[in-house]
Amino acid sequence: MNVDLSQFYQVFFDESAEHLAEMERIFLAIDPLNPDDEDLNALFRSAHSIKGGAGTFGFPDMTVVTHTLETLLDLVRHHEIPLSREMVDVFLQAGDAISMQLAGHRDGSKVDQQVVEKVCEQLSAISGSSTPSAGKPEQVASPALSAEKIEATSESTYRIVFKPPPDLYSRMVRMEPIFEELASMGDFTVTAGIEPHNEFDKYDPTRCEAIWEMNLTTSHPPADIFEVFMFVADEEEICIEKLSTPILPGRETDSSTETGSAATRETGAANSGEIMGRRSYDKNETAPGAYGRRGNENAEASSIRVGVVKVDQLINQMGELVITQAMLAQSAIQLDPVQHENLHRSLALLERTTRDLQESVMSIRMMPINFIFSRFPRLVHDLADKLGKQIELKLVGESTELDKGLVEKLADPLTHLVRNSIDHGIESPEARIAGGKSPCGAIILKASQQGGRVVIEVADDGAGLNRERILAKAAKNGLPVSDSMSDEEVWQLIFAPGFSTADQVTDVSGRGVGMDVVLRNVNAMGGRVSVYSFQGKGSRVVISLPLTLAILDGLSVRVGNETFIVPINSIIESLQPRIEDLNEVGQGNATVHVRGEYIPLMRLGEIFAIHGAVRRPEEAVVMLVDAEGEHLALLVDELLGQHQVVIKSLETNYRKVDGTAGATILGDGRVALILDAVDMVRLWRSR
Amino acid sequence: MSMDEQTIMTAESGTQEYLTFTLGKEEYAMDILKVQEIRGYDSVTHIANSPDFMKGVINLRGVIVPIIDMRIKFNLGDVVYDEFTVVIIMKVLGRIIGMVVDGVSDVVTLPSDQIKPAPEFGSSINAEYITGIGTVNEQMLILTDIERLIGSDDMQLMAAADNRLDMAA
Repeated sequence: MNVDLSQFYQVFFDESAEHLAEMERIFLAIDPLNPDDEDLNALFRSAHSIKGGAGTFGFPDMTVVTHTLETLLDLVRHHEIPLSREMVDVFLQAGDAISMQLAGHRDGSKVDQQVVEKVCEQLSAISGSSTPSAGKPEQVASPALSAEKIEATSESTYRIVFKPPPDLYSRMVRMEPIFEELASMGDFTVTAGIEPHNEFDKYDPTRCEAIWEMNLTTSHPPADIFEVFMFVADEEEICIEKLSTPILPGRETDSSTETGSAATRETGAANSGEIMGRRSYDKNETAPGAYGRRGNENAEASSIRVGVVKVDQLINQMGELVITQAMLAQSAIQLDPVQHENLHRSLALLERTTRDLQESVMSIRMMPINFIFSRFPRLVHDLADKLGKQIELKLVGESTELDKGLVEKLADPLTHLVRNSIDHGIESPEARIAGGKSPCGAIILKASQQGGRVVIEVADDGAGLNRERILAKAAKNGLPVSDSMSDEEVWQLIFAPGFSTADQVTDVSGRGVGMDVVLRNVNAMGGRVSVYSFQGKGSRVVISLPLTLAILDGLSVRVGNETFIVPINSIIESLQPRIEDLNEVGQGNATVHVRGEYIPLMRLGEIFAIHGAVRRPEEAVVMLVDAEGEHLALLVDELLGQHQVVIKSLETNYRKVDGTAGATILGDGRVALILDAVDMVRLWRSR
Repeated sequence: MSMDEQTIMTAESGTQEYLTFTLGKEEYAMDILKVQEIRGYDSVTHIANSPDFMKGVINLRGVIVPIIDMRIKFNLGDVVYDEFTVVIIMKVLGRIIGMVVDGVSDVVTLPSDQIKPAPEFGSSINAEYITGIGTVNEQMLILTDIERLIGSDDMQLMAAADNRLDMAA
């Protein structure tokens, strides 16, 4: 077969990575004492697929590890050796070793052979120490292989009977390359037969009813012959028998045969319809050998891989369409509704379709947060082991969807928070028992959608933040602190750069790359972080993010001749203040009295130096906004209306403008700045 | 314009095309390859707390483009905005920026041997941003290094260097 296989490498890499992830997921979830048969089968299938792929694409180093792993898994799934906690750990390490080898082939990264060898040794140790029946797993799994060791040097003749599944042709399988490859291994003859019982008028040429009988004299072991059929057939469809002596090429149907080294094997079963393979599979099981994958062709056919650039382009163009639609709608307002009834109706339809289209387009970029959540079971498992803690991780709301860009950027902050919880939050089992808690700590990762935002929570039932230690450390770092600070203010201190209360730098955390990075990363995504903690009961870090970065619901307001957009989700309410509710404070500053709360008044016209803005609050509109829990009263001239706006970066061609989160294009084609409440507070304070 | 590009262009043809424009009474020229389009002056959205010459931003077919007025920047004559006011939309340093000028006159081809080094002073634009002086039809042209001018710190068009570092960290 002179096909350039390198063009399929990427597919193999992707698939193997998926298989490895799947195996890891199952290993972590499995109960070693009472494993689920389905899980064991799935594990075996994944290992088998990786091995098959690695063999086909010529990565022998990967085949070695996966083969040993596969063999063990096969024994486990047939309950020939019991699964144990230690074995699962070794299996996980084997998975890591395979991942490393995979990365080595894919990215050219370094493969640590010592690790690979160690894993192989551990795997062999397991198979060596298991029950006698599994003493030589190679033999049980693949009896012919031991024959290979004895007779590797001499040639043997095999009779191969291949009874393909009826759908062989419709799977676009061609037999010629297989015959060619077999022929390249030694003396080879093939004869085709047909199953005799079929009546001619029921003959369906699209169904494959042929049976091929082949004779091959070769020095290759039977396993190599199986490899040739790897992508064509399940193993029960092939029967390979070793004939006692090398024979001359020619059709040999009834010569006395010896069945490899497995004496129990049935012979000459070609026509009996019950052909025995190397292993017998449960018939309900998905064919593991077929195409070298897990039989998830259907799932793959229903999705396509598309470059992110293309999706982003689609979203940009969608944004333009939204703007154009808004422009059209604005122009149409001036037309007489009676005379132009049809136009108005069409425009209403356009608006609805645009909105639907926009939702669909945005949903392309959405992906479930499970994408990052799924890496944490392993992290928790490993770290908990390392630190001698017992931790149970609970994932809630993994299917919550979030913009792809956000999901990727969330990985680092979340990893950091989870590590923190494991290292600093959860106490050792002894300390937990002493504190009257169950020895097993819990970490909960929770995601949910709340309005236009996605809220992600990392909660633990550990010791909570230590107020005294944070204060002491802050004082040492030269931060302004006092004992009278509220808990909330103290928790905020942990976001200071270089802040870590860990007594010593460990492998896990405490390297000073701390919460400040989490805060900065989350802020860069337009999100917020809040911390809740109760001494002895645990702590909770809540990250709130906008659902998407591209489009937001905003209220347009007028100040002087300028229009600004205020994001809807930061608006609490708008009101027309009464004179008696306004209080002058100091020079030019004022507060608004709203239901018992005195809220500082910010004049937008003043902050943005706009001529002609209304000066007197009682003649204008006050908009109460929420800036990370802080309330503010923005003074604007007039509220114009609610829009969906497409966020455009000012930084592309200009620079960041203080107090804004970007700009957008209004229905009339003009540019309007989008206000950022939190940034405005900062700007206002720094005046 | 970078030295490399200039060398290549000179080696190829020995000549280069320039767009000439007027600011006050002086005639300037810039590399035509940096020009994306020329359009009239529309109303802009003002950006608070920015320098006077930064007029604001406009919507150029869905792209937000800042508009600077060189007449304000270099204190040249009366600054009026009417139907004759012209904006040169240019692509420099990977950004799209609009520049208000008094008028656009011509596209001229200048052989490199007709370009003389710039004198120390004599124009409203700082000598730092001038690559040379050319002559077309007995008239003096000041060749501007538009990339260096736009990228300079006093234009404040880019985020300050320390800000950028901060964001990258």
